[in-house]
Amino acid sequence: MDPGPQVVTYLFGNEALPITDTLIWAWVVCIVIIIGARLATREMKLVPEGLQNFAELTVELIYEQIEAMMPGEGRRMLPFIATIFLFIGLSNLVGFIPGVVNPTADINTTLGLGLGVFLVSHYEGMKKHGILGYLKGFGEPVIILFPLNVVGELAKPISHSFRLFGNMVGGGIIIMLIYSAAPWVLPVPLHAWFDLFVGAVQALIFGMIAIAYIAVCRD
Amino acid sequence: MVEFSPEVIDTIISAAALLGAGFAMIAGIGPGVGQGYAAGKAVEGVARQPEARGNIITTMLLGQAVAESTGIYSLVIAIVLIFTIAT
Amino acid sequence: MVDLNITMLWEVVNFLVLMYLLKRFLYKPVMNMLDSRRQKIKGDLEQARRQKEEAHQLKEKHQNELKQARQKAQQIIDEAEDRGEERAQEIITEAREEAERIKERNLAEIEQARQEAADELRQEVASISMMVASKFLREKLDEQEHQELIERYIEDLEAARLGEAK
Repeated sequence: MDPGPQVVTYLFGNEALPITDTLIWAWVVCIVIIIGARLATREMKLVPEGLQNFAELTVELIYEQIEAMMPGEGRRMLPFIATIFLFIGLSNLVGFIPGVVNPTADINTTLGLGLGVFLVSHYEGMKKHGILGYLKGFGEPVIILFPLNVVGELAKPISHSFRLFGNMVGGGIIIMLIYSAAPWVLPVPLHAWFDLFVGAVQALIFGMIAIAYIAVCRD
Repeated sequence: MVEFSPEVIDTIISAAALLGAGFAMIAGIGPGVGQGYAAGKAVEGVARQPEARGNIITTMLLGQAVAESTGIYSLVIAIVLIFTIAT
Repeated sequence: MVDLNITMLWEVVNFLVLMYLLKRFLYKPVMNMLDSRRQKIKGDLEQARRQKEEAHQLKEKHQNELKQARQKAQQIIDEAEDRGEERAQEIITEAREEAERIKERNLAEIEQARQEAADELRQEVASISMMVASKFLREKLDEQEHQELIERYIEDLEAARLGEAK
């Protein structure tokens, strides 16, 4: 029994192009988010109602988080950071529905996002300081520490993505074990804990750490 | 030199992997202690400044999640050992 | 379990597409809405401030006008009072003069009447005296004594009667 992502089918029947259940659920999550966004902003009113209220609240909260760490960059960084928050948040929460696999319980998803944050943060750092000036930053405080700093930087996306992946997959495994042991009573509070609480907290943390990484690279 | 049949070798590898997974989870001590320490400090902070409760809890959760990293690494290693090597 | 494969690329593409669509459908309209709301609130506050100022100025102006009007009214009243006072004084003076004039005229009339009465009386007395005297004379008085007698009589008469009337 493998609790990881299951290959559902192969694209064009090619063994190198597997389509996994996590990928399918990621698509579903994306579609749900887009439909929700479309519904919320279909007719914007000056006095917000219902979904529009929720959308504005969410976007503004994320915007404020970015502004707190990177003053003046909120508007530019908003699409990237807010998409991370929304996508990971909903991906972590959908596991609450029985039979749905968290798209984030797949190392490909989390490592992809982690590498994305890694690239964006270093791009931002180079944009701010220039390539040479940025590379010089790795030689601080003494030049001997250069390889160590580089290794530290390379470890960032791995720890970043493995944290989310480990949390989600660990919860999934424990719930799976409980399902096989006591399928009727225990899974409900465990679902609430692992999918709602841990999921929400981990999504928040993934986003906050993404902001922090980018902010650190800009310093 | 004792010759083992392939089934026996597989069994030994499985046993070693499962044992290794169990040992890997000893790393769970670290995050446990660290998170408990963070929570204790947060309680002290809330006791001193009850009005800053929300901020303290958010910061505590963030710090704990980062401190959890080592535990998660061990969990991932244990999972790999169990589900990819032991089977 | 932890095998990396091509799905990572799909996930990243997924994410980028989601980011693009959300940028179009969510962030842009929401941020625009927040901006426009901020602008509107700012504008409203500004307008309210301006209106308040205007109202304040208007109030001051009205108060000033009211004050001026009151002053003017007071002035008019004062003027009217002054004029009334003057007029009253005039009337009183005129009345006094008139009274004086009437009194004088009456006095003159009285004087004249007295004069007339005195003259008449004198003539009457003279004629009566003449009559009495002629009666006496016819008896025994000479011309000279006669005249003296008349004169004395008249003088007595004047001193006794007319002096009193004067």
